Amino acid sequence: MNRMEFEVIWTDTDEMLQLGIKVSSRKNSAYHETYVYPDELAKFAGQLRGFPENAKSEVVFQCGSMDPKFHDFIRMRIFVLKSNGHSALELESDVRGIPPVCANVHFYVPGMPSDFNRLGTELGTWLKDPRDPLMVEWKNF
Amino acid sequence: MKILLQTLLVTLVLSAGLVSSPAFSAGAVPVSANDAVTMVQQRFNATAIKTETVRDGDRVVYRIRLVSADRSRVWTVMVDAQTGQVQ
Repeated sequence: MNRMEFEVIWTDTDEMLQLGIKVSSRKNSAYHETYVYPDELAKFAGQLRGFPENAKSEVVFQCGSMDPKFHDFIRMRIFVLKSNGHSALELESDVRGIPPVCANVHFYVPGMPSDFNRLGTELGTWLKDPRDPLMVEWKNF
Repeated sequence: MKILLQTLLVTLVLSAGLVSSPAFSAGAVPVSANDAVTMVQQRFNATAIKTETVRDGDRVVYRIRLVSADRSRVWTVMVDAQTGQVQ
């Protein structure tokens, strides 16, 4: 089973979230903590709901910076693999710090557009009241 | 001839305007965003989370979000791109 989890660890006075994100496929998994504003996530959720607009569509959520001076970098790209609709989530995660905190991962999680549409719907709903963690699962195609 | 002179005059005025207002371009200010991040990270023993370039009146300011080295505290500092002064 493939899975994504979102958990708010802390909320700043300006509503910026310290967010824990878990991404798992049948073979790989990763945990990433980042800082993000709810409207950035809401935009991502909205784009996921409408994915794909065409065969070359992709939805990207990016946070942090590739510059190693910065706290972290995460990039999630959802894109169409094949014309039959097979799609994937590409995760690039760079958790910086000293061992054992640091981690650098890059892998793909397969899914169908309807799985990513549901992820967008559930993420958008969750953002209205994110007190409890969100977990969304889907099967391999 | 008159049109040519007008064109030259307009070009000169626009060029002068660009040279005299470097503060409106973050690329032309003395302190780059990269320099500002390095400076505040060293000064506060912290790591940058996000940075954005904003205008404060006629000045360019970097708004840098920091997290402390022990990851227990998050705060924001503003760095004047013209002087490097931390606000």
